[in-house]
Amino acid sequence: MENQQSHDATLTLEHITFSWQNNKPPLLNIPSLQLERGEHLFLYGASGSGKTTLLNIICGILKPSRGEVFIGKQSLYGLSTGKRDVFRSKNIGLIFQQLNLIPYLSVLENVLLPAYFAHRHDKTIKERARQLLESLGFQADAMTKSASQLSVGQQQRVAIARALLLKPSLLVADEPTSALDSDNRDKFMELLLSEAEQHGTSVIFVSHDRSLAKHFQRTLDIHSFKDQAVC
Amino acid sequence: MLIRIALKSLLNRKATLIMTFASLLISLSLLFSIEHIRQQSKESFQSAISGTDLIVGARSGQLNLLLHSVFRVGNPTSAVTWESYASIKEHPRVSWTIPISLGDSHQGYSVIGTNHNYFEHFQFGRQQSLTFSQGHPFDTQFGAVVGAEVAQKLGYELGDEFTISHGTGGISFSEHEGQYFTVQGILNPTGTPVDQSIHVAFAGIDALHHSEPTTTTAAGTPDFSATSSSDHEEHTSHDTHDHEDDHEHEHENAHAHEHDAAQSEHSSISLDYEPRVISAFFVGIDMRAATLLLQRYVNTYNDEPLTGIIPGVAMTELWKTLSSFENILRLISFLVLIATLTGLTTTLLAAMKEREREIAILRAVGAKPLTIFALIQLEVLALILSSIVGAFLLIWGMLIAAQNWLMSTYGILISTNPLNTEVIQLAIISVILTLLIALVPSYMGYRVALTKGLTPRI
Repeated sequence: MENQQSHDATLTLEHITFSWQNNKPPLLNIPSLQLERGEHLFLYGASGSGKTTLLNIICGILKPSRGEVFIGKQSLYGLSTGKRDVFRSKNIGLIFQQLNLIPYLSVLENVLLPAYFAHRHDKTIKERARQLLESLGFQADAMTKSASQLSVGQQQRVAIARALLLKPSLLVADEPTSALDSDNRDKFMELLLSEAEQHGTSVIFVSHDRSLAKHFQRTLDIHSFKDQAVC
Repeated sequence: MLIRIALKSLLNRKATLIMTFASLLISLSLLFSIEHIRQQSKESFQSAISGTDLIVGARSGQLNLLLHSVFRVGNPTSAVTWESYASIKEHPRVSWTIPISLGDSHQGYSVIGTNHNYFEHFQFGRQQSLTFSQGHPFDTQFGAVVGAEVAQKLGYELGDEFTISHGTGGISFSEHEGQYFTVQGILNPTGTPVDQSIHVAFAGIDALHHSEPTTTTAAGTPDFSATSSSDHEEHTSHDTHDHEDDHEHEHENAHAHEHDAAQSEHSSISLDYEPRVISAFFVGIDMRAATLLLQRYVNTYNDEPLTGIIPGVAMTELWKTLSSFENILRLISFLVLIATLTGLTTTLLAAMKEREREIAILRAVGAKPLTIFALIQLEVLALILSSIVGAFLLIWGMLIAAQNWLMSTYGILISTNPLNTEVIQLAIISVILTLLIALVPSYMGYRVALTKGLTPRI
């Protein structure tokens, strides 16, 4: 709180500790972590290392035992649950490992979901959804297809478009490439990072696949948070 | 959009949806149609008589009097003398009366002796008067006016002749052979017991009771002992001793002329003919407010023990005695509904497991836990509403298909429109119950949204 410095920081974690039970040693201990505007971070972590927990803390789902999370200048846990939900949907885009889409909605409807929950129904947002999809390689006729008709690779690309729709300052991707083959994986990484850069969005990318670290300037091992290591 | 998501999500689970919809449809149709038929039977019941302020008969219970005078069920226990009738008729508050004489039947349809007042004053339903589809009121001693169902079932047309037997059973104990009645009029359908009745003049009824070949002599003096003993045998089975005995006494003098008339061609006779006794009579009063007064007057009538009943009051009491039956029907249909709703809950709960991912996605794109809650409620609402609409359409269609058949087979006129207040109330109750039950999966969805975070598990 005391050093809410750096106006350009997209994400600031301060003195975060988290444990499932009070008397156990903390699962996570992050004295400080900052992500500048437009800066990307590769978080390496094996399964069970607490990366999902960390992502939940960053997204405002799981309140840390101690510490503060700032998105821009807004303290995430200073908001009520309801407001936090709204804030998240506007400021953080999310991409999951797989099955990001609601199968019975069309591609375009899936992309427009965040706009609906953020109560944005204007034409411009529809236009933006189309542009995003187009730049990710979807033709107009593909947009009206039902999501369940897409391949996994296509689905993950739609997820990028959806995560970026509301121009969030932060995009959190949780192992989004784990279901893709290597060709698709590289293509996906390129598209993700170039689209994010175009919109000035910071990306936190979590994976157990170290080979993906080459796409990022900044890399962190989640294990470092267990040893109270500072970064 | 939320509605769209809800609908699309429902359609996505077609197989389960169709089964759930079908079971809801069946149980709701059952619930609504039972209620509708209950309503309709009550209504058709209460439409059996209208406009009559008082029914007067010999002293008996009010249900007994109502049942035989209006519904032609059972027999009067005793009779009312014409003198009493004539005297009450003269009461200043009485504006009209319909005397009736019961106790005979033809092929299971009851025969009512009456006079022209019946066609003039009798009302049913919402103060509707009797109308003729063919012919006119009887104007001879052996003329008859038959109800719509009688005409249809027995195939009677104007001018047809038939014999009338004594007693009200389907199988007659003694055909009054040689006493042919002629159809002079056919009434329009009323949906009341009138459809199943044959109306004849008092003179005709009395004549047939005294024209049995063995009981009368050429001199016109009845062989009294023979008649009464044979009558007794006959009547013990249907409780009309007094009535008949009275007849026997009454006609010792009047008989000769009457008998002649009966045996001769169906001549026009005076319709002012007065029988010695009647079974009951309907009374119309000029001021509604005087009804209780007149009822007391009848109940305390000095010369003869009489009972006066107010049709509406007696009808309500009769309906009450039938209500345990209708309550059982309602209970059963409610249990069916509960069973269906329990099934619905099971289906919804099973679906929640599959839908965890869907919920996680919606949460990730900004849906609040409450929105998830609303989404599930909305889906259930869509399901129950469409089931209700389906049930209404189903009942409506079935009633349209069955209406003619019901009318011709059972003489029941059922409205094809199942949307009456009570059915709508039931529909609202089932919607509320369903939404209450859906709180369980909705709350689960809400909890899932809160505890499982944003990451869908595979």
